[in-house]
Amino acid sequence: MEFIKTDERHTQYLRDESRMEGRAEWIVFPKNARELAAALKTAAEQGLRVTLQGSLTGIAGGAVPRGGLIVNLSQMRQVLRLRYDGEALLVTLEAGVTLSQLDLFLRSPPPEAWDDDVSAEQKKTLLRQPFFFAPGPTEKEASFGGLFACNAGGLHSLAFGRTGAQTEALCWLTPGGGMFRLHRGDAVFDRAGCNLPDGKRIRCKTILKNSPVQRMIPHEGMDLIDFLAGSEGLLGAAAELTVRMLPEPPFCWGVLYFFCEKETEAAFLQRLFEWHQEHADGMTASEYYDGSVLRLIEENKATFSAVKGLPAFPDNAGSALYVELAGEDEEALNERLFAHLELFLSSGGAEEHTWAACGAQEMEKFRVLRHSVPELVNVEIDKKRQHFSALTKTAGDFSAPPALFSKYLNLYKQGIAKTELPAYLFGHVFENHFHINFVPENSGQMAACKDLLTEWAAQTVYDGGCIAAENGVGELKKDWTDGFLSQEQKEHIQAVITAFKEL
Amino acid sequence: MKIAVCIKQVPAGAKSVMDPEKGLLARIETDTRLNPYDAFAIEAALQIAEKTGGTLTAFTMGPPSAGQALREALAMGVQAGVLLTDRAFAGADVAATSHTLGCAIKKAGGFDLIVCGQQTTDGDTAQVPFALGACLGVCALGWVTEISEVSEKEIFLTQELSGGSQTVRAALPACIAVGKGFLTPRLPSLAGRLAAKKKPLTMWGLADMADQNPEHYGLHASPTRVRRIYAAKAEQKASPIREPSSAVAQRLRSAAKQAREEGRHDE
Repeated sequence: MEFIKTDERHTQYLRDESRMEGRAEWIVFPKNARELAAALKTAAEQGLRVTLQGSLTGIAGGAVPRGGLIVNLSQMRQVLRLRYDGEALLVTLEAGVTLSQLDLFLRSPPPEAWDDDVSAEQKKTLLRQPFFFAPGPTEKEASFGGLFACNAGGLHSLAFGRTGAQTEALCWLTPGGGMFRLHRGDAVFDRAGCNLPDGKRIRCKTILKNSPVQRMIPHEGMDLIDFLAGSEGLLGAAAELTVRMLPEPPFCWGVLYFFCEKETEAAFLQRLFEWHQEHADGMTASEYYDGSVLRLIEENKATFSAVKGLPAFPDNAGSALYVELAGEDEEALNERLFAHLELFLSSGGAEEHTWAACGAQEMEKFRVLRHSVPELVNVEIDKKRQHFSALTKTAGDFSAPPALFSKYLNLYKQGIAKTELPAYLFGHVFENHFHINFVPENSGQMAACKDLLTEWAAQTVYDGGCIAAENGVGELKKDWTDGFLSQEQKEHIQAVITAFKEL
Repeated sequence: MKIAVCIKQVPAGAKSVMDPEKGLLARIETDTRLNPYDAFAIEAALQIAEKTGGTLTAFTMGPPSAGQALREALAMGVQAGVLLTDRAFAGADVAATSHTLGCAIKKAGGFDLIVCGQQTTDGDTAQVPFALGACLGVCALGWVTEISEVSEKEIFLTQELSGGSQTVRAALPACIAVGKGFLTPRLPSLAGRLAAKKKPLTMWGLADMADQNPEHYGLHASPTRVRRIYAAKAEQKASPIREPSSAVAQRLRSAAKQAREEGRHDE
């Protein structure tokens, strides 16, 4: 493994999807956990600032270097082992493996990848059964290391939580290159820290207060794996992860509901949310698209391959909701769909203003549509950057208590309408976790967007929510989020970082 | 107006390999879907039915699981589905498939217009619509890229040809094969999909056909044997004739006469 002096061959490693650009003097491509540990150890000894990189798909600038050494994990792409625990396929893989690589691997895994305790008969059965990474990140080129680093969610976080929740074990490297392995349950925080399986102890107080950023503030009873998920490289890196892949449910549906009237949207969202809270309805996704997003898709249908074959949206569609339901019992699922349809119709919706897909294959076009939204927004940003080069991703990723979703939806809509700033609003509505993407055209607009985001962030913190929910804080939001941390929280974070450096 | 649409269930990834012994396609995927070309055929048929107030029936031949393709058509708005399923129908090539479909269409009382997808993503012959037209004794028009007008008696449409296109008027009944691209297939509504799941399908086997001779169906009635699948080289010897129609007609008459005299029938 060689520390390479960066030159013009490495410009692609100086930026990610945040559209920020950085600088670095050195870059290294470790091929396994041992090499990664050696790279981190050398960097620590030399006092080099380290930036870890997965697939550079992040949108908060977490992989954008600010000098020093880039540790790029793209050559750590081995799927190491497959096990089965009776419920899920447990896949141990290196941090650079991407979702699409894992999908490909699982279609025909080599015999040596299976753990010895999986019988030949069991392997046959398992190979016939499709498995999926339950949080459902829509960016298939994202690496598992990156997904864990920002505790990424996805289409199905509503039902299955985020990446951390589906991580069963880790091989963790500390900032100084120390290595420890742990399984879920092995290390849990008490009031004064956390014992590691190897006998070492992380000494840091735990606090009960909610944190406005998801990382670095442990609470008593928290599993160390959950704590490390979303730590964005500040406490080290996952070299290997064991993730749970769940069997795809036998029956699943995706339904797009289009709203032509604001009242229909408000009534249906509220009724459906209440229905979902009251019933075990198998809802796994709830994605909202505002009118700007629908127009953006419509405008790009002729040229953007992901949305090319879609029919025109209903006339006057001002917004839409995409819902996925899954289950084991086909009849029960159909009944829930009828109930949802009834709620839609009684809220003023029209039968022909729904699109439905049954089965994963048909639903793929709706999932591709969902992923195309942030991609199309990025295309818009790139267009604007031709005239306004300082433009970076200007977005909010706030997650407030789910019960307050309609308050926040109105807050965002009113703010955007009042300021007339160009914005795209979409995201996980019943998790009250929206993505608000501004595409300002000049520095004045950009400042106004940031003011609005700051206002919303303050409201989110007030309501006990999180202001960097799944995309991470990265470089893009670091200074900004710091403003929402109390002195006590900042001290806690620093204490945790120090504790990990001393391990 | 009575409209029929002929559809097929195909492997989802179009991953089929040829069985070298039998010269038949061996399905290696369990995932299936509606032939993508057929979604365009259904959309074209639906639009015609909506304009003319006609009725629309979908036909498919295959194992019982092929009923899923019919349910997809029903969800899009087709009114009825007929599944032709019988062991005797298995292993059918273009000729046998067309015979089976033709028998079913006749049994259903005949149709004013039969709409097919131009080809399937598994067999890929693009020949069934023409063979079906021949079985039914109606005009068959392929590579349709636009349907401009339909009445009870005739249809005006545009066909894509090598190096150009032509607009034709055809008397009904007729069989047409539509290509991709000139229409966008609609996505079923939730109510449509839920209703399609419960709708009964008509299932016909050999015993339901007027012609009950098993030798006329499936592998027995399939003269085609696939020896090899390869990409054909396209060699264009001829060039378009750009002359007044009377002069073109004269040229064609002369060419046909010459071919007859030389005993050639393939030009």
